Order: sequence, then C-alpha cells, then structure tokens
Amino acid sequence: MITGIGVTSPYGVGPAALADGLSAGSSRFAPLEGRLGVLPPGVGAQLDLPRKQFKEWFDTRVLRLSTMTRQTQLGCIAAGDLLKGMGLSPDGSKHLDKGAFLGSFIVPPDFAKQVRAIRILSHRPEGEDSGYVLDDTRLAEAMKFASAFDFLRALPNMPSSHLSIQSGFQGPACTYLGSDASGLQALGMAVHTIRSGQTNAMIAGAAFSPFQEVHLAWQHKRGLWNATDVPADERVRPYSVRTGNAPGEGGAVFYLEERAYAEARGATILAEVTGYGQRVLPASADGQVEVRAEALRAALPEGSPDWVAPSALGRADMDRLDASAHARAFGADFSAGTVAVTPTIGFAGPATAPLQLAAALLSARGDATPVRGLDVDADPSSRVLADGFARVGAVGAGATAVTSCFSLDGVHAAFGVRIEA
Amino acid sequence: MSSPEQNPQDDVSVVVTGLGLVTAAGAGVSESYAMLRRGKSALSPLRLFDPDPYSLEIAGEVQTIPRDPEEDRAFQLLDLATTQVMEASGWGESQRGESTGVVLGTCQGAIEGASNIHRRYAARPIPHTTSSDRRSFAEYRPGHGTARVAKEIGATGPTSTVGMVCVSSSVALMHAVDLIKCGEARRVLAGGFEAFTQFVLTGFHCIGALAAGPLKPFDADRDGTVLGEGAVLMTLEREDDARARGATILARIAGCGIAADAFHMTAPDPKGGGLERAVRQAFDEAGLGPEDIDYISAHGTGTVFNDGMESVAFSRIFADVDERGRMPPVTGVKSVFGHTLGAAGALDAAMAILAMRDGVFTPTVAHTTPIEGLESWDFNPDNVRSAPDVRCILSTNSAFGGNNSALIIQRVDDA
Repeated sequence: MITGIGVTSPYGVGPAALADGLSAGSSRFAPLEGRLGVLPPGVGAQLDLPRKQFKEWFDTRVLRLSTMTRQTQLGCIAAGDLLKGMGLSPDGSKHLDKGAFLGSFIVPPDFAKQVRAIRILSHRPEGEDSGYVLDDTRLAEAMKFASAFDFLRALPNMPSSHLSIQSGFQGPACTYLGSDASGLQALGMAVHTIRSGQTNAMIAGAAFSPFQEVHLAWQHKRGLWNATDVPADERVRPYSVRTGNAPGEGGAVFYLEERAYAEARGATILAEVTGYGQRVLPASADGQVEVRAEALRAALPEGSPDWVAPSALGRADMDRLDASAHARAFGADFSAGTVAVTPTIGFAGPATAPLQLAAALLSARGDATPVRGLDVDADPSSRVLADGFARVGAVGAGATAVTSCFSLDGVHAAFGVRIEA
Repeated sequence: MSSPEQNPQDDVSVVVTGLGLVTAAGAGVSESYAMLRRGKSALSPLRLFDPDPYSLEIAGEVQTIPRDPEEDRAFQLLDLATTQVMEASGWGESQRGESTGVVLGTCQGAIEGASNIHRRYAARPIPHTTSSDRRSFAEYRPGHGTARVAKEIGATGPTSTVGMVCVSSSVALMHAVDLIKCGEARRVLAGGFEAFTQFVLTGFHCIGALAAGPLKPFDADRDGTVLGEGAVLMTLEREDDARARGATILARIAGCGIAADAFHMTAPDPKGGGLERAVRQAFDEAGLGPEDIDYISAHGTGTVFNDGMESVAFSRIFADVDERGRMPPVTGVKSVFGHTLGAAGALDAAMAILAMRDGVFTPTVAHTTPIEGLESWDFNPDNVRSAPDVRCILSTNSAFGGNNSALIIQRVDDA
C-alpha cells in the first residue's frame, strides 16, 4: 500500500506543489547560468531552494551537507517532506522494521572535482599510446581539489544511507544504479521486501540532479536534448514530431506499507500497488515492444489503466516504442489519460519515473488536474499516447494508473497502482 | 513479474551451482582458492601507476590479466568471470530467457572510462566525439555491467545493479535469492565486480583508510586496508531445478540479512548494532542460531573501525557459545586478495563455499596478534587445516554509510 508521497521538483517541495504546477501547466525551464549555460540545450528546470531552508526537512547537524551531493539533498528533502506530511517526523527513535531503497546514478555533481584532482596528478608519458603515471610533485596541488568529503559524497550508497540515518530506519537500505530505471527498480524491490516479510514499511523512490557539465554533455551526445530555437516552454513535447528533452531535477519517494500494518496504525491508504514488472532486453534486440508490454501487463494484471505515465522521453524511437507497447498491453480500445512531467519540469534521469508515478497518482486521486492540450504536432506513430494528453481519466477510488520507463541498459520497468482514498 | 496474487515461496531452496572468479591471484577459481589454501598473499607492488604519492607498498591488482586499452578494466574482469561461471554451472539454452535474471553489485562500475571522459569533456568547446567516447558514454553507467552480462548469457528476466560499496555483491546475492524465492525468476546470475582505479585509490587515500604495509585482519597492529580488484559471479537457482538437471550443487544460501546502522555517515555503530541485526535476520530466515555456525567468514578490512566493530558484534551474537568454549573460528581473506569493494562480499562467500566443500578452515593471512580481549578466538593465522564437519558458514560484510549484510551458507550433503 502507498500511504505517503514526498516530492521535490522544480515546482517546489511537496506533492501539492507538483499537483498545482501540473494543473497550471506552468513551465519551469529557464536559461542555465555559467558554464552550464554554454552547453546544449542551454535551459533546464531547477529547484530554487536556499540551503538554509534545508533544516526544515532534515537535521543538518546530523546529515552534514558536506557529505551530500545535490541528488542526496533532493532525496532527503523529499523524504523529510513525506515523513512530515505523515506526522512521522524523525524524533531520534529507531525503527528496525523499516527500510529505505533509492534509485540513483553514479555521477554526482562533485565528481568532476575529484576527477580534476586525478587529472592534475596523472599524465601520459611522452611517446606512449596508453597508460598514465602519477607526478607526485603535483600531489599537494591535486589534494586541494580532492578531499575525503568529495570521495564520500561520490560513493553510490550515500543516497540511501543518508535516508536511513535521517529516518532512523534500521532495516534494509539500498541504492540502485540501473540508470533511468533505477527509481522503479527501487520501488519494485521495496514491494518485494515488504511482501517477503522482511519489513513492515519502506521509503522508496529516486532523486537526481543532472546539472553537471560532463553529464549534460553526455546526454547531449546521446541525443536526448532539444537544442533548437523553439521557446523553452514549448520544446519538450513527447509523442509529437518535436523531438528532444531538457534537463530537470527532483526526487519522489513513497511510503509503502503492508496493508494490515497500515490499517492497524490507522493510516490513510492512498493506493494499492497492483503490480510491478521488469524485463531486460538489449536495446538492439528485436522484441522490445513485447517485452515492454509484458512489464506493463505485470504492473496492471487486469483491466485497462485510467491514467498512464510513460517514459515521455521525447525521442521519436523511444516514444513510438512506448506507444506500441501500451497498445499491445492494454488493447485497441486503450483510452487512458496521459500524464507527463517532462514538458514542464524536464527529464531527471532515474527520478523521472517516480515523479511520473507521483503525478499519475495525484491525477487519479483528483488532487491534480493536469493541463490538457499537449497533443500538439502529434507523431502519428505515437497517437495512442499523444491523444491521451487530451483525455481525462477516471478519478477517485478504484481508478488505476501505470507508470513505466526504459533505460539505456535495456531495462523496461512498470509499476501500477489502484486508488483507495 | 509479480502481482499481489503471487505469494512468497518460503519453502523454495536456493543453491549455488557455479562460480567464476578473477582476483589478484589470477583468472580462475582454482588459482584464487589455491592461493588462499597455501596461506600466501596475492598482494604485490602496484604496476598500474606510481604508488609513491600514496605511500602504497602493495595492492591487489590482477597482474596476470594485461590491461586492454580498448576495454574498460571493470568489464574486462567481468567478462572473464562470466565465461567461467557459465562453463562451471552448465547453464545453456534451457537457462536463457525471461526466467533468468542478473543482479550485480559494484562500487564504482566503469569509473575508469568515466574518468577518461571527464578528462576530455572538461575542455571547451566540447571535443568532437570519437567512437571510443561514444562507447564510453554508453558504457560507464554501472548498470551497463549488468546489461552486458544479461546479454551475454541470454537472460531477459529481472535485473538490478546494487551500488552499496563494500556490501554491494553480498546484497546482490541476497536480492537474487529473493527474486528466486518470490517466483520472479527461476535462476539468477549474481555477484560483483570492481576495477582498481586512481579514482578509488585517491578517495581511500583521502579518507586515511589505506594501510602502510600488509592488510592485517583483526590484528592488534592493523592500520588500514589494501585495495584490490576482481570479479566474482555465482549461478543461483532453485534446488529442485538444479537437481533435475543433474547440476553440481556447491552450497545452499539458507539465510540472508541486511540492516542499516542509521548511525553515522562514515563511522560504523561502535556497538555493531546493524551487523548484529543483519546476522540475526539471517539466522531467523535459515531457522538456525549461533550454535549452528561452524565458521565465520568476516569482512575483516584491516581498518581499526571495521574490525573493531565486527569484533564487538560477534562478541554479542556468539556470547553464549563463546562462554561454552565453542566460538567458531573467524577468518578473513582480504589479506590475500585485497579489499575488492563491489566484489568483496561475493568473494568472501565464494571462498567460504569452497572451504566448506573441501572440509577445511582457510587461514587468515598476515594476522599475528589478536585484538585485545579476543585472545581466545581462533583466527587460524597459520595454515589451512582440516575441518570435515563444517556444515554452516556465516559470511558478513559492512560498508561506509552503515550498511551491513549477512549470509548463511549451508552444505548440501547429498548433492
């Protein structure tokens, strides 16, 4: 059961900010400053939040900002918001029966600083084709850049470790690194962990910030960004002929509980998890549509969803795969409302799918009324999802929503929910 | 795939049917295991780059495998281990498809390739992309290792990549067991991989965790760890499936435990609370207790904090059996192979499985003087010794950030 949602997005902190932003349809893209601004696509959606406000969501004396990357901060703010919203704000007590799973990515913003130090230290000997040597006369200079904190920040398990310390959750903690699918993988594994009786409750989701030079350059080379002259607030239109995305940051975490445990403590059950599916197939292999459809069907074993929140990547090949798989999974009369956060707050890597899940859940509950009309310039091959931008799905108890995503590693993942309250 | 109608299958037994190992001792299960049995260390002077700035004497570099300039070191090691484990397990066409999963752990994945990208792309304007860059861009994500193995073995079932530093591969093994028990997969290839890189070495240097000399697990004079590299993979499958196809069963994973300290970002809980909870969780799952453990394969990094914390945790967990003079021997293998980070948990477990198969206690190399108060514990510092009655091993790991894992590995008598 899902009994709580925590969100950090360019709209602000909290699910209400996300719901309001989606309902207004307001774009949060703005020109990027400094060295980031000269890189394609030149715009991005960031959360403007002064550091001094972080203590509203976690104890900065315990969780030192010096040990946190931006993505860890976004995850801890989302988790702090979730716990606060549920009346479970940390009071120093420990919880043996609860854990934290978070999806992330291994390239934190400060990574470049660490590598800069290594670059100073190392050079390739003249006349050699490969290999590096260290120049110890440069060590002192290099160590100005490399610090213990840089290294600790860069460790992949830091996001979930911070979360477990923040919440006092002493059950399993794990960070997943499955690229863009790791957020849904974290949610899926959290469901398994509860079902297997290892825990009664889990915080799970993902957080990510792509605003680091090399990462933006990488995604540009991957062909992900729309670097055209189209105004920023119209650039990202998944399932249309306008191809490309823009970077965004954020995090979405969910409080998952075993039903009896949630009911016993009088919790409001927002939604039931209908299923989770995950398959892997090399990106170059045939059968992508079928595999993706199987994942979707596993997420919602019966019936057709009222809302779908697909990957909304904005790349023609991926969009068409998305559309074909949804049609294969849910039939020709598939008529769900489509939800997408990417047109207004961008693509946030592994955090995108959990943000999509939050958006779909809020839409199905009626907390958000996502603005319609994003079906402009629809790609005829993606109509089944593009047309959904003009539709409004069923709202309230019994309404269903399916979120899905795809990673470059070939992972197809999907997660389904049915609204209870 | 799962739905609420599918219930966990607690009665499903999960067994290990194959191993693949690449360590500083060489590429092959027999090479690594033989080195450990001989009580020799595979650690040697670093050749990859000048170790002087780090005051480094030795490292667990896989020197028998030359570096391939066309391939990231992490994947070079991973590919070798994959080939080995597939041959050893006997998995073939029948084991391909959606009922087969892959779960791998790593600390930094293909960080070597990432470092090279950062070197080039920090420049302005962004340099023209080379074919090598394109490949590196695509491959430096940690999840690529998992996808690469899945493609190689024809697995299309559930996958995940665990980034939990020193407990990465033991948690990967646990997730694999969970996936099989939950019915998500019939079999999973699981383990971990890690390459020796300047990035990680610089980091460990910065945090002051490196030893000036040999790594000395649980030694009163321990002063830090020695880094290593490697890839360790296991094929895990339902015991009924393994028996039906006549596979060699090496061991059963009888219990798993994972717990967070929720204490401090860098220091472990000095009381070992997280590790104790992980071990007790593994006991509960296995239906066993401290009195059933014949042998402890400890994390034993050689750092003051880790080995101290582990000692405290073991003291509490085994207090009753220790009082009766039945404290099981405690061993550590990192003084032989170095600390392989993302591969460490699977390496510890693999060595324990082989020792149990052969009925021996392997030695804790370089251990000479026990930590004060542990003089009565048996760290088996000298040579391999016969232990034909070993039936149950506890293998533990811990990581920065306060993550702890425990595996109960059981002998399968009639296999």
